[in-house]
Amino acid sequence: MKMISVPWISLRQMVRIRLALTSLQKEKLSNNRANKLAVVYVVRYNKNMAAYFTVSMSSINVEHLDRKEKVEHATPIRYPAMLLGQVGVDKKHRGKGIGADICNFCMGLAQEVGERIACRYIILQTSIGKTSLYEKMGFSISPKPPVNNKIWMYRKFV
Amino acid sequence: MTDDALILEGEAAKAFLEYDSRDLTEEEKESLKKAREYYKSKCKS
Repeated sequence: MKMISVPWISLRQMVRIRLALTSLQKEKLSNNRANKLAVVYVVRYNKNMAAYFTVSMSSINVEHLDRKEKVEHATPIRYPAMLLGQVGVDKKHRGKGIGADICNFCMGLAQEVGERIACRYIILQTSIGKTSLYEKMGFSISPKPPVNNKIWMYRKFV
Repeated sequence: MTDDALILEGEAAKAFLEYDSRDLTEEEKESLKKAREYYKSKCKS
C-alpha cells in the first residue's frame, strides 16, 4: 500500500533509504525546507520510505509577441504554476507506479491550491530521455532549448 | 538541480500560448478529476 506523508523527514532518514542524493541536492533540500522555498513529501510503500518529491510555487513567464511587428519592449505575462521540483524513487521501488502516483498527487494538490491561490499549471524539469512518464501523465514538452540536458514540461488544468 | 521558473520567448512562447489557448479534452478533464480524487484520498494534512 502506498502512502504519501506530509513533510518533513530528516535528511539523515533520506540517506538511510539510499535515494542516491548528491551532497548538493541534500544541501538544497535542507535549505529550501528551512527557508520555506519548497515542501518535501515522502512516499511510503508498505511502511517503508520509497520516494520523495518537492513542490513549490513558481510561474511560466511569457513574452507576448506581435505576429506582424517586432515588439522591442514586450511585456512578460506571468502564468502561476506549481513546480514539481526534485523527485527521487528508491531503486528497490521503481516500476511500481510510484512516479505516476506522485504526478497524480501533485496534479490534485495543484488543483486544490488553485481554488485558494491562483494556479493554472504544473511544471517540471527533467532530463532529455526521461520524459516518457510525464508524457503518459499528460505533460507537454516545451520547445525551449534544453539547458544542461534538462527540458521543461508543463500541464494545465483549466 | 532545477531552475525555479520557466521563462519562454520566441517559438517556445508561441507554442505555449497555443497550448494555453485550447480547451481541455474530455480525456484530460477526466484524468484531472481522478488526480484530484487521488490527492484527496492520500492527503494526510
